[in-house]
Amino acid sequence: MLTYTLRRSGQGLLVLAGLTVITFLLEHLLPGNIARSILGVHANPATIAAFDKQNDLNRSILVQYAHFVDQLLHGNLGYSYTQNRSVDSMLASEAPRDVVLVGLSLALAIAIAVPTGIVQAMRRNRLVDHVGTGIAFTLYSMPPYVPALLAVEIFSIRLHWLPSEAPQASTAIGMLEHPAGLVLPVLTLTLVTYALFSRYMRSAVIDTLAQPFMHTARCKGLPERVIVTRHVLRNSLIAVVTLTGLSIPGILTAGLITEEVFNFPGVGLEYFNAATTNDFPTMLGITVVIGVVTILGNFLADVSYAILDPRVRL
Amino acid sequence: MSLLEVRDLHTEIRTRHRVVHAVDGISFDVQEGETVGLVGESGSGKSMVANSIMRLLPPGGAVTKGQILLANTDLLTLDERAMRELRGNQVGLIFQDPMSGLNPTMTIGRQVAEPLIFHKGFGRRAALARARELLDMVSIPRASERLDDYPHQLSGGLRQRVVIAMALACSPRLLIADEPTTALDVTIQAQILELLDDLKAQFNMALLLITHDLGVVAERANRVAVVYAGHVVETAQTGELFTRIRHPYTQALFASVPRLDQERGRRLYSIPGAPPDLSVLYPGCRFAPRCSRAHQECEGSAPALQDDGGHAVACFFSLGSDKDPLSAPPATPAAQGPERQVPPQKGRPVAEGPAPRAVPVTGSTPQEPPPPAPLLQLQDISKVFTATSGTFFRRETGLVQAVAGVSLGVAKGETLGLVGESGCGKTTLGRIAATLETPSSGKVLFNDKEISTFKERKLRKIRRDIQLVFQDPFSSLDPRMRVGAIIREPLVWQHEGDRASQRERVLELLDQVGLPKKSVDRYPHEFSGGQRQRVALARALALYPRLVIADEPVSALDVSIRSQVLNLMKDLQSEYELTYLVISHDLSVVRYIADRVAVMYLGRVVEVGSGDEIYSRPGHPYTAALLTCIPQPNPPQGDQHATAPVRGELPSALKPPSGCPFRLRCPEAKDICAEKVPALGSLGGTHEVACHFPLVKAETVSRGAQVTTDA
Amino acid sequence: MPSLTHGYGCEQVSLSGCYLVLESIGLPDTMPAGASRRVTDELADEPELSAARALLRTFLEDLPAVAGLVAIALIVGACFIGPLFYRTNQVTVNLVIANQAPSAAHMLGTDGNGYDILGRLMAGGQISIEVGFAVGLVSTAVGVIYGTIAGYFGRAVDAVMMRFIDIGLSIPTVFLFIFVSRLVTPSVWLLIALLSGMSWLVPARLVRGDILTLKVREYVQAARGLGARPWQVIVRHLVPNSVGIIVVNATFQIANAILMLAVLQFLGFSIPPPTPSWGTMLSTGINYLFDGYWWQVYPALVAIVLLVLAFNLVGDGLRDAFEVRLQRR
Repeated sequence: MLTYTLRRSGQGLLVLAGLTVITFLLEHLLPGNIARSILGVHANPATIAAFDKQNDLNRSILVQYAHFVDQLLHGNLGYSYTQNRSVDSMLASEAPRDVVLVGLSLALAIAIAVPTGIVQAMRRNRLVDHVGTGIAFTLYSMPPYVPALLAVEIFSIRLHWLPSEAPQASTAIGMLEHPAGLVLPVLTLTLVTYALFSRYMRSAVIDTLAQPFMHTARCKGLPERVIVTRHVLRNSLIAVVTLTGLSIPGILTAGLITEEVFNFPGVGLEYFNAATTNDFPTMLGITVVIGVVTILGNFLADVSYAILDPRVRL
Repeated sequence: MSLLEVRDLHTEIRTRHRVVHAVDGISFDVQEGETVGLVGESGSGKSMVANSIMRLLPPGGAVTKGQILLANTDLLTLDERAMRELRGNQVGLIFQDPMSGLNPTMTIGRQVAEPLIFHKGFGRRAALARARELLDMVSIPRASERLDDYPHQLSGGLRQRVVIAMALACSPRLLIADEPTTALDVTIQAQILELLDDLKAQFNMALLLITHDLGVVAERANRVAVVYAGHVVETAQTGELFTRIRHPYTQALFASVPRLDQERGRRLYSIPGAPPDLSVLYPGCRFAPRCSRAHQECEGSAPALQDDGGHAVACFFSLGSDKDPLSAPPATPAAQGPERQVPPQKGRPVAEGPAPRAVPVTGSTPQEPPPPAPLLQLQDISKVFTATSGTFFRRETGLVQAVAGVSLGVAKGETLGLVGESGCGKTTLGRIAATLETPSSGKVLFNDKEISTFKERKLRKIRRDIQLVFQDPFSSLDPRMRVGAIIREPLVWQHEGDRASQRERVLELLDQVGLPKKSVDRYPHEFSGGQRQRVALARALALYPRLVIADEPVSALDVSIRSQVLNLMKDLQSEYELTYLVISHDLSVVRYIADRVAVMYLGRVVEVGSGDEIYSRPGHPYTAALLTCIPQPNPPQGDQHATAPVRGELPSALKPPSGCPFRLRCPEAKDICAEKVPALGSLGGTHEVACHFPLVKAETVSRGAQVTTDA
Repeated sequence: MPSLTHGYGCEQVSLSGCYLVLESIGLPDTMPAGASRRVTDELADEPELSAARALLRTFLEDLPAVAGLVAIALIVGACFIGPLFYRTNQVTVNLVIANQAPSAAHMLGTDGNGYDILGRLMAGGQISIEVGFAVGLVSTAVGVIYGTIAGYFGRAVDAVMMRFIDIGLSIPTVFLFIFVSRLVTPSVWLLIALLSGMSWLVPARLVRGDILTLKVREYVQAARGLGARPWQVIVRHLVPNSVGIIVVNATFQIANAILMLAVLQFLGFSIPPPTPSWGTMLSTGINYLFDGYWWQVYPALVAIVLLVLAFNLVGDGLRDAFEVRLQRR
């Protein structure tokens, strides 16, 4: 188990290194002079020279890369001259609110998707399954803003039940103090994530049900409830866990859109605003962080996979 | 009183396009404490009987007619809840594949304990304690330590023991064993069958033994029912059935099984054709199209099972009956007369006419012809693999010595049989001989050229002379290619002739392997297993190879089809002047087809010799054990059930034992066996054995000369 | 004797054929030499459906999949042929007719610039469909080549190639795209290039996995044993046998590309207006949602969901159809 974890972290670090190379190259893709595109068109030559010197921009590309990595390792994700604050301080204030949004939605989506997936698989090709599959499939085929728009249309515009804008609190706790405003963004992201997971779960359970050991369990005369909780659930979750890791970028993208639609103050909205103002350092910093989160998520998924599946252990 | 009574059972499986009548009016009964064998080929519906009794049919399956009485309760009338209380409690089921039958994410202790908790109301702790006892009872060594093991940590044989322990947990009255040993090696099979026998007595239960293997039922069952195409065609006491076969199918099946005591040169009988399509309703006897005695009457209506003094048979013209058209042979030579009965007295099949009954033991006969020049020579071949484990995350766990210093020669025109249990390295050796794998050390000589050093380009040329036939006729043919293209492939890769001549050659080959010309445009899935193996043979022969390496060529086939393919292989050998290297786990098959036999164990050849030497005077304890393990279709005389001669499991190739690889399981093992690896030494002539204490003494050669050929 | 020969018609094995010889001497337990040849196994007279036809049949039995296929045909037809009959002005702004509800003149009404919604829908659809198909094609082709190489050569080659995929998959696609769109103004070609550049990773992984299992199949070994070269094995046996996974995934790739494009258009990082696009129509229409101009939102919304759903349904149907076939091999 330990060896496995170490090996897997080695791979993760390798991927991380690859990620830094790519972001570094992206920075160098910036049109014309890096300093000018970061400091803005109106920066004076002196500032540019200072910037270049500070960031080793006059030296060889390898030194520049080393500088870039060194900065990253120190948690320095760059400085947004447009907003006049460092990217890491921005993230430190925005990210907790995202944890609320993404965490709540993820938990809800899993809580709904696992049981419905099991029910659908066990009643395969019956009405329940067709309805469930129909809903999941339609949601899955929607750009994430579609459920958002429909939710706003129904619950805000027609029924006036819920606000169409997220609470504008400055902390995660503050967000939770205005639950009404949170409902629609969380609902949207939950639906999108649910669509993904319920399909995974359904096919994982179908696969498990087709395994010969299910026949054994039935031959033992176990009640259906026991078969589900003891034999189906764990084996199906094994398959779903890895997929969860892989779907992190998708969920974060959906998060970006949800934040944009509901004006939810989070990293996604920050990225969107940075993009409209050509605030490249912020965009790059966020990209790196999301990459790291993805790698970390995949790593955690693989480790929990190993915990769930005894065959992977040493 | 009957414990189980199945009356006129009809089970159907509905798929989208058709209805398969898997069980079509089967009746039989099982008395308390009795073992009943249900024998049939694949697709005969025998497993569906088990599933019908458990009422656990695959999707679309349903019992449409009949009764299943367990202690006079009709199981088909019970509600699901009552049925669930019965499963695993009163009826236990053991199935074929112990690899996939256990939940991979649950410890074996909990899996064995489960039925106790739900049927007997045991607490968790008590159930686990009982599970430990049960694991002890099925002879799992160190059971208390194994409770927390996961299935993947156990070998196949041990897993099957866990499955048995699970089925026995609640002391059921009836145990159904559906092909319980088919996935296991012969030495393990013998152990498991013996265990089942013991437990049956211990738990005082009845056993319904479902198998395709006539040998298994002959040795273990009290009564036998032979199933063909969803019908019971014959049923009787085991002794009675095997001595007085009445149904032509039983007779033909019996005659198709290659036997250890078979004489060399005899050809096996093979049943023509293939079992019928069960989705088509058919008024007559289902065996009629393949039956040599079928008459007009047989097509019109199906014969019912007629009981005649405990021996029931479903045939209008059963053997020995008044109506048997062949009972008074009119125009046949007198010598052929008695053959029809095939009474296997004392296990010896009736000899064919004047053929000599006993084959002289060759041994050290001085007038032996000089051995022909070897076509293929393997010299001190070793192969080491890096073991990896885990399905998704491969990681190295050690080195496996798959083949350890094997030297063998195959002479031109001869057939060498390579026998051994799974994991003994025989397949790897075959792949090395076929140049698909390079040896870690040692040389492969083909026609005196050292081909193991050839580079890819030169190898391609040599490969036309060495061809392969694989075990699984389902995966050895590309499902997306038509048969014509499959057979033509070698000609294409070797740039042999133009399109027209290639096509001509394909048609010629089809004819030679006994397939119709129209096969050319068909896809592999349209063919049966036996037919596919014919296609594979045709492909192998396209380039007129000199050596054909056949890896388990018939083990995926049913008995009745198997003999067809074996006979074909023999015919093609003489026609093409082929040299065969036949790899198989089945000693009977090798006995039938091979001139010389090499026995492998844990990467080493432990014995080589002619068929007669190996089978009548085995020198290695392992060979001897293998031979006694094979169930023969002759019921044992009196009460003398064969006891499993080999204990324990095959050691892990990752950590082979020191000295002789077999010593841990060998009844003869002494101290020296742990210290020194025995080398192959001659027992006279071509018979060589690698053992410190061979079972037969060397004849003319002195013991001192038993020095290594491969040390 | 038709009743005897159904399904496995082989007259010569039935009652009066070649086995008469054997019959006359009772059942032999030995076979005459050469008899193996005469055991002409039965083979149905009618060839079964060819692989492709069997596949088609299974597919056509799948109602949702057929519905998806019909929807795709209708949408593609409407977008590319529709404008020939339903001519609209999509170039000049005409505020006089802005924000009109659906009428005979404007079947789906007009937007804030006076553009006809239906006409705009068709024009926008062309881009979505073109980009979708192109991305599906390019990413699948690249993925197949990459995945096949990694899978076939295995070991170190595979390990290195797969790490690159991992790196690629760790980069959030949409975020990266937005970044690039700020550097270069997107054109159709750039959209195709970028979306393909991010989409090929998934098919590459899938194909690689499939090749890994296929290459140990015995028919592949047999081909090698017959003297086929690696590329011959790949082209003739490996790729054709993973065609199921390839085709199914390509369909999903198209759906995904259309979806991603719609997201980017909605966020305003695609080809800039006045080029019509479904996503842009939605994001502008959304501003009028509170005014009740539903026709400015729902047509585009329905179009996107319908087209993506249609491709997903077809992909799902294809997967089922291929799986049925896989079970038989």
